[in-house]
Amino acid sequence: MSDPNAPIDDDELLTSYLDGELGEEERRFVQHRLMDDAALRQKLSDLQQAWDLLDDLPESTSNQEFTKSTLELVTLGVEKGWEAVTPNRKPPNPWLRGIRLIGILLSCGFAVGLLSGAIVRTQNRRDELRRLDLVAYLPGLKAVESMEVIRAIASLPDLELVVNKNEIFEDRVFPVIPTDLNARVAWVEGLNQSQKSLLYSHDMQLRSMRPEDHDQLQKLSQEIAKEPESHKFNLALGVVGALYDERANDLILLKTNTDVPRIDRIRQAFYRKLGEWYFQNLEKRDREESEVIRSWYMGLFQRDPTLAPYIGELLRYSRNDSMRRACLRELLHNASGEVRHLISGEYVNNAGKSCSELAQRILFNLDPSDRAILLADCIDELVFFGDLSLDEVYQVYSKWDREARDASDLGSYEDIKARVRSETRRSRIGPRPDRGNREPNKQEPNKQEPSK
Amino acid sequence: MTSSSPDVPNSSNAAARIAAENAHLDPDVGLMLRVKEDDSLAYKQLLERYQTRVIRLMLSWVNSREHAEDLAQEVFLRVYRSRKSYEPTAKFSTWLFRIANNLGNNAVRDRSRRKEYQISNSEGMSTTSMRIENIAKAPSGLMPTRKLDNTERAAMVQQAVQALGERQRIAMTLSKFEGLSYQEIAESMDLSAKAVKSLLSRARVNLRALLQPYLDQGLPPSSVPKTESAEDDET
Repeated sequence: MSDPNAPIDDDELLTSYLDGELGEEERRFVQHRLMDDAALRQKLSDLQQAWDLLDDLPESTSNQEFTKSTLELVTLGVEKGWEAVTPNRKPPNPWLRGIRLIGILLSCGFAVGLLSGAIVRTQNRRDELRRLDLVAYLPGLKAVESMEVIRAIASLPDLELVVNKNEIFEDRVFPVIPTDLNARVAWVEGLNQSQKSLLYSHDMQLRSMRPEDHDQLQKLSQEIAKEPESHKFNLALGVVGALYDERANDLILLKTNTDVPRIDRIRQAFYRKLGEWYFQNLEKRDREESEVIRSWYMGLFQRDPTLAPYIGELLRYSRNDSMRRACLRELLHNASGEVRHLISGEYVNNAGKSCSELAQRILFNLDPSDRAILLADCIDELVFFGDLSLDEVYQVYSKWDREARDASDLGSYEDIKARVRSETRRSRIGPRPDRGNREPNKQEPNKQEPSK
Repeated sequence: MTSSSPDVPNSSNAAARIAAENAHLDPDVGLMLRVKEDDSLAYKQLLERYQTRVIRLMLSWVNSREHAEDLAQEVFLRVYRSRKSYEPTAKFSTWLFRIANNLGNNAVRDRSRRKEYQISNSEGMSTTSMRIENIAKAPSGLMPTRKLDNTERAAMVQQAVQALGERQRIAMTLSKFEGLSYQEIAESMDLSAKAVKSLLSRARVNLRALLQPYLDQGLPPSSVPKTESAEDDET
């Protein structure tokens, strides 16, 4: 290091270390500090993780058209002089002109530029524009499973108020897309950047979807288009999509629309319809609703333990809290270690990280012993795989504590925390498990109820 | 690297004696020397080898794919036009990326001038105007219990990258995807190595901050530090 006494910017030092730009002496200096300084180690890990995420960016592929047109430009430049071939000023061939015309027409940023590029280059632009319903309402289409639920939601009064009132909402939910193809071009042109990104993301999802899933969604979209009041169905799809995306955030979206009249009524009606629809389907299988729910949940576990994370999603629509608690408790007590781990590690843990209401409810409705088990697993998971320190994890759970509707339910929280800390320390002694290939939870959590 | 032209870097004559050595060490230098001798096949090879990399770099300057392709095309035209004055004093990629960065810089400057006459519009996205607010409104980060699939994650990362300052983004591209050393990046961007170090450091820190809500799945956007949107270089 040129001047060891000079103040050192840790970010720069760590960046240089990660980039292999330090000399031997500096490298040793950093390594020495890393050994002694946990915060610095964490920072190093953070910086590297962010950098590694760049690997997720899509790879560009070689474009024969680009090569061909560039060579044409070079030839033209040699023949006619270079001023005539500057691509930015005067595109000399119809291909470039076409691209630019469409690009200007759609006024798209990078994300939607890819989409529009795909639209243009496939030479099926009209078809792509026709697909906009499918692309724009994709989350809603994925969520509904059937026309019945959409029909129920579309019949709600004031649905349009939810869609058009608030800018935040509009950023996430597309208003009804015009049917006329020319109007659709203008519609794309008028989107803001966030909406374009959303559209692009949906399109990417569609392209990576299994053909049968894609066809199913397309069929549903076409069915909706045939409805006499298809615009209402599209509104409903938009709302469902937003709720689908937002459900674990406890409908922040709708909550931010406080200036929308009767918003609570709309929301309640939506949940009632959705909940009824789910349970109508359940009741068709068995009149004893409670047994249906119980057997259904358990059956799902037995068929495929990896479905465990999704059970909680459906628990949300339960009309009967005591039944929900009973189901979950039964599941937890009867499930194998692996399933138990999935419940906590995959679902509750993920939801818990965001302090969603659902996660809180699940935790608060558990017996303290069950909660201790979940907390232990959650914290273990968070510390090992998340970016949070133990202190930060405790802050998360403290937040739950403060926001608990029934504070008495968390009377033993400090005891649980101490127990969790002990559990976590114990589990950290072993090698760091591989997330993608974890062993079943061999270390059976102690079910002994913590002292209150 | 010394340059006799603001657009196209050139070398001094003193460097010519190491041309053969460079051509041996860097096969692309050899190709460019063949282009210098009007070998169109070599030019086509260079075009094919570097087109995606140059387009990716230009996407660090501009948002639009079409615009990036136009600029990349201009880069390759300039490479051809300046072939006779090419002297291999450094890696071919360093020389090429310097041309590309000069062009990108000019394009952004032109765009800024045009913007002075336009009504301010939050939707007229410059490369630096996509803020964290937009990322917060992106689709999949809104769903903490759902695992991001690859395409969604890519879209998220892409938006975070777009929210970086231009120079941070370019330095990041050259470092991460081109594997250039600080010195080579400095030559490509006409900066000091110290400035590059600082840019890359801030790029990492800002990228981390931008992606933090999604990594944690659920932190509100307001808790995320803003990146330095204004040009962040120290040059």
